[in-house]
Amino acid sequence: MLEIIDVLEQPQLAEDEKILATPTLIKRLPPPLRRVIGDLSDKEKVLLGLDVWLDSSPDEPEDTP
Amino acid sequence: MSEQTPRTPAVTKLATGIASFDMIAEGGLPMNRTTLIAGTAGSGKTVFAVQFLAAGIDLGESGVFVTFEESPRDVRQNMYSFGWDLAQWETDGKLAQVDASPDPGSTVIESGSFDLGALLARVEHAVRKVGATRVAIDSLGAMFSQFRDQAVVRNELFRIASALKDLGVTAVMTAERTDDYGAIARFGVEEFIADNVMVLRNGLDEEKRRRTIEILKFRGTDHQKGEFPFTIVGSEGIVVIPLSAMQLRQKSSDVRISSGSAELDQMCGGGFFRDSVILVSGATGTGKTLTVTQFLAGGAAAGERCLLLAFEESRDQLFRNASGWGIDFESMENEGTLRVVCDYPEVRGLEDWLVRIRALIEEFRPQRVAVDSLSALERGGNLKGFREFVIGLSSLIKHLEITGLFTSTTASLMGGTSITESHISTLTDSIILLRYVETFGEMKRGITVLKMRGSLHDKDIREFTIDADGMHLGRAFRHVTGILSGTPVHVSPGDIERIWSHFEADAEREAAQKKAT
Repeated sequence: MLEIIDVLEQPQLAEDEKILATPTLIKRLPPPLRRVIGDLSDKEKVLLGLDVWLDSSPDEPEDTP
Repeated sequence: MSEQTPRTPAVTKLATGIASFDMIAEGGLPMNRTTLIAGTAGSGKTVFAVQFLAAGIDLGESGVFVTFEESPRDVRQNMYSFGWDLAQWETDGKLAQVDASPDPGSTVIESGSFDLGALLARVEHAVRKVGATRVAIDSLGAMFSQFRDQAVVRNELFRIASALKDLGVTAVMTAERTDDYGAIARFGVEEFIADNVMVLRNGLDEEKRRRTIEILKFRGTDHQKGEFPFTIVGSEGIVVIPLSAMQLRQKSSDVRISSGSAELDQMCGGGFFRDSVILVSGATGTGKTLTVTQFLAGGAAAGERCLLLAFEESRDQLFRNASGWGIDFESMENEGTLRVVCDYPEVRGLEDWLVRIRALIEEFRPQRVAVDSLSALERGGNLKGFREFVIGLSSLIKHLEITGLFTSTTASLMGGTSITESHISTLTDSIILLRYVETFGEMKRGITVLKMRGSLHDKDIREFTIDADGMHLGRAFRHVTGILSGTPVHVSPGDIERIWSHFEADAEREAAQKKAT
């Protein structure tokens, strides 16, 4: 479920969530809680930030004994 | 800058409520503007920021505290020791905190461009919620370290500053410096909030910390210039010691009071002046503490309250000494005419001593204050700090029309002056010297009134003795010369006559010349 909040209209919600930057994307479920700020133009960072990166990440080569 | 509002005639000031600060700021902080408070770590920036809000709340104003560094919980806890109950104020709707402190539990990923519109909305919301007139932002350094894109933060800060202006609030922002004397602040923040800059310093000098506050500039309005020492007191927060502002308003009375010794009164031309500062200088054991004891006894006898600040001897020693001279400190204290405060000078810095002494004076309201000895306090700071302390103390005493008696210990046994003396003699109204005089295998004591501002006094160096009744003044040392320089030389009566005859011969010659012309 995605909820969109305009901080100018509901500043108290921003206060409760301790949001500083706009726009901010908060992923609650599944845990862990993640925050991504910015206009989401950097796709890789968004995926990394939301922790939805696949386990077999090409960036992280497996340790070979 | 974008601050030009052509209709505004002049910059008005908001009295912060921090009395000593308002004095050096000549009224307070520029109203409806943002003032940058720059300082190194531990220089008191956060304390000032919170005190600014606390003083406003005391005056019936509301405030908003934006924290980038400590969590609101930590801020409440840390500031509670100053007597500022932030939690209570928040409940009462006098204070709102905007929590922008970093959350250690969550990582923030920056993906693409962003602004701090949410923060701005929260600050505006908080200001409206409590009807705030004061905002404190602590600290800019912590704000910058939360984001990778510094240019955005700088730009957003500018937006926040101008939004605060539109809201009609007076704000302070704290910023870190790496060095007490250098660039105003890191991150180039002074570029956009450079209208009003204050610097707090916490310099290390001769192993002692010395705090100073300087108003670098208040654009379009006046302030006192230079660094002013300040201290942070547990119950009050920041207390600035406004030296230049204190000195000028002294009254002067010609009421005489007794020194506690009728003979010394006579030497001084009828006693000390009511609101004067007297310095008693002498080597160890010449009778300084006795002079102090008599001065206090004289006050108590006249029904005056006396405060003794003793830095060299313990309470028991002082009481025993006094009873040795026939003075009962115990009963004076029981009657409420005497209060004795004994402490090592090292327990606090000189600025803190000044604040402590002021608090003692305000509480006890004495007519006489004695400090035994001032030299001991020299160890509490550097020379400049010590001089400032003495200026502060003497002007405080004079302002309240209190008679002050300070003692100063000379380093050498015979003659000589102490550092204390050479640095403060111009600040005192009267100077009494106690000196050892060596005469034919015997140590005698000599006393002279070196200076007595606004009065005639005895110019003799007189011998005095001490017995169970205190000090007794004897005759002048007529046959000894060089006492003050520490090298007494005995002169036979014949030599004295010869010297006098020179003067007489000179006088006769002059008279003869006058006749001739």
